[in-house]
Amino acid sequence: MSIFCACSGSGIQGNTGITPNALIYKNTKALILVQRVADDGTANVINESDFVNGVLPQSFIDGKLSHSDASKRWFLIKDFDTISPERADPITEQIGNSNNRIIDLGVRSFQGVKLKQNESEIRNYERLSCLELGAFEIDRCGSIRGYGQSGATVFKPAPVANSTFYAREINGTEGVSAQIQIQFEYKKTLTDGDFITIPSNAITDTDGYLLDDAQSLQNMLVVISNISTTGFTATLTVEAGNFNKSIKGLGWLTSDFALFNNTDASAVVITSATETGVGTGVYTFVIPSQDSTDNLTLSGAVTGDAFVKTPYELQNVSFDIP
Amino acid sequence: MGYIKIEGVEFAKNAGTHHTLTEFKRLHAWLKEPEKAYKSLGGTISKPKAKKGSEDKG
Repeated sequence: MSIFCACSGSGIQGNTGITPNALIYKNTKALILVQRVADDGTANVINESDFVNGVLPQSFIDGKLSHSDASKRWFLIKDFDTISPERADPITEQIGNSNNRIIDLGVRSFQGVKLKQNESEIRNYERLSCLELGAFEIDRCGSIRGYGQSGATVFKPAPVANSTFYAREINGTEGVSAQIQIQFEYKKTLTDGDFITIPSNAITDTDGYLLDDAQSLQNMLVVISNISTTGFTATLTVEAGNFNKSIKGLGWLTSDFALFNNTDASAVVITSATETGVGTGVYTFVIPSQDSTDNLTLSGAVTGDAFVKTPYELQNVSFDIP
Repeated sequence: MGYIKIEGVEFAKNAGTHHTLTEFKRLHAWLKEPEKAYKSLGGTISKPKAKKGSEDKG
């Protein structure tokens, strides 16, 4: 942070000429939240080398959205309707001749509202609130705004201040739709001049991909039953806050699942997983014979770093062979 | 890991090597042609031994 005077000499002066075609970031319509540093210590950033012929490929974005390591995953929140990104007035002091001298920046905050959303989303936002987050903002053109000096080779998410991320449900009324409101504050180390933008025409070959077609993962919950040495039954439901009227997990194939024998520390090749009836979300698994008392874990299959069955993360479930 | 679709269901390509034919048939009772599926998944069906003295002696 530099409170207007540079923290270190860069040799660059405060020249005020205007570049006519400079990109102007528009109003924010979506957010990508990400853990700033992954559990393995790597920073979650976009590097120049991630671009192919000057474009950030869709495969790169999809890989981030469905990353099997949640600490490296992009959590996309789309369809904001009302945004209030604000920088509070600077903090000043009056001494000597009573001029208001600026001694610190005001807080930069973000507040956005999503209309007609299911309140079960709040649970996931609460889970995110415990992380050290960064945010990429996406404007109505599909450009991504992040953190970095102009000319930098690394594009970082803007740092979110810890314990400031918060989401709440606002009930609908006769005149207003139900809403989910999300708010957070950026770290005070971020000055407004630190923002930098990847233009929309450098993000996939599809216009507005992040705003329209890109999908964030949903939680797919699993209940295991009828366990034997050669199989079990798994009931899949989407986490959507519907008590006793669950939304079923449909259309999963054998190759979408992975099974691990924790006792033997070895992967188990699933022979077949068959949905017991179209639209039931109940799958009969056949597996090579396992030993009694072995402990198994069912999870979503992963190719490379990403889940095979998108946009879902099958919640890992462990069970014992009787 | 490879998979083969048989009668609308994905099977692990080498699933036949992990089950006996009897077990495979029991666990996939809905298959119309379980022997054919078992063989295409790498399973081996041993031929029944010819009975002694059953050959034509001309």
